[in-house]
Amino acid sequence: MRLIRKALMVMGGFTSTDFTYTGTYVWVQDTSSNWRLKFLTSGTFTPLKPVVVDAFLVGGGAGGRDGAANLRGGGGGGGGRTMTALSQMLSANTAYSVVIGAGGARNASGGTSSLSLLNLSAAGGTAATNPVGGAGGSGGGGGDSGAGGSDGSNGASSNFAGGAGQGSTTREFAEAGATLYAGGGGAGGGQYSYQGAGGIGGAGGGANGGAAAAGTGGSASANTGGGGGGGGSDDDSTTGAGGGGGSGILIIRNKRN
Amino acid sequence: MDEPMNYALIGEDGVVSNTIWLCSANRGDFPNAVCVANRPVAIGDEYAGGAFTRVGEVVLTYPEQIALLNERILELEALLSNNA
Repeated sequence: MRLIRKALMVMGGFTSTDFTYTGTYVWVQDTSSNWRLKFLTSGTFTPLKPVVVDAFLVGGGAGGRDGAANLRGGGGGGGGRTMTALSQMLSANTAYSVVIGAGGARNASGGTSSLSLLNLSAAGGTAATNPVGGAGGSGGGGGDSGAGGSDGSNGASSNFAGGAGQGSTTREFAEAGATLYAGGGGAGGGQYSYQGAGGIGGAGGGANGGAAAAGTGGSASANTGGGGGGGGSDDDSTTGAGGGGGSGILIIRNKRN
Repeated sequence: MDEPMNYALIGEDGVVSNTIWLCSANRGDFPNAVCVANRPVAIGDEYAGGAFTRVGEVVLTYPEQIALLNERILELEALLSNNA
């Protein structure tokens, strides 16, 4: 009888008033019965009734690497890794710790996003090893001027290798046509090879690399898991700073399919 | 407005175990979190006595690094002028 009552409660629907959250979030009502809850900053989530959800996590993007003193553009930061977990049961009045991975500072890897008690986690992107692009959800571009990868692909190789992507889609809930996350950062431009423009950041939040004239790499936006752009390098060995990675995100939705 | 910033989660061993995106209003949810703001702290750095270090060197912000380099330039210029 208790099991039937619990099942009926789950089937009764979950609304924007059926939980508390201590951080910042966005409630999205997709249709009359379908909803998504996007956690934007870290905090404690407490559902007030049991609910079965699908979960999607993105780790923080890595920061781009500073331009190198040997006239090489810095590698792009790797985008955050992603994971999708379907049909996860959340218990009523249970405090779940939601961790949103920070975007990495320049030259640093991104933080891990996670949902406690369910052992769900998505690691951050890896910082570039100058001037090779960083690995991640999508790989960072390789110096000089390599473009960042997107949707799980490797970063573009130039004079140096792009970073490895995770090899699977970085779209929301791994669904075709859904929002793209975790683009790799573009590499900085390098004066050594006269490749002036910074590499283009990968779709899904990857930031552009800085131009060769010691340009600063772009910083990725919050909650994208995008990799930061690499810094440029000039012919007098003046170097630009790498840009910061974008913080990750955690999204749950009513169980579908 | 309470803008989110980067925080470092410090393990019992004093090593940064994760970096997270957090607002100050609910930093109490993470008792071992230390605000790093624009300081380029990374997972694996060490935290003791209010300072972050990496391989024994203090992790400096970008403006702090520039100030340090400018000091060293002045020192070198002084040395050069003394030897001239």
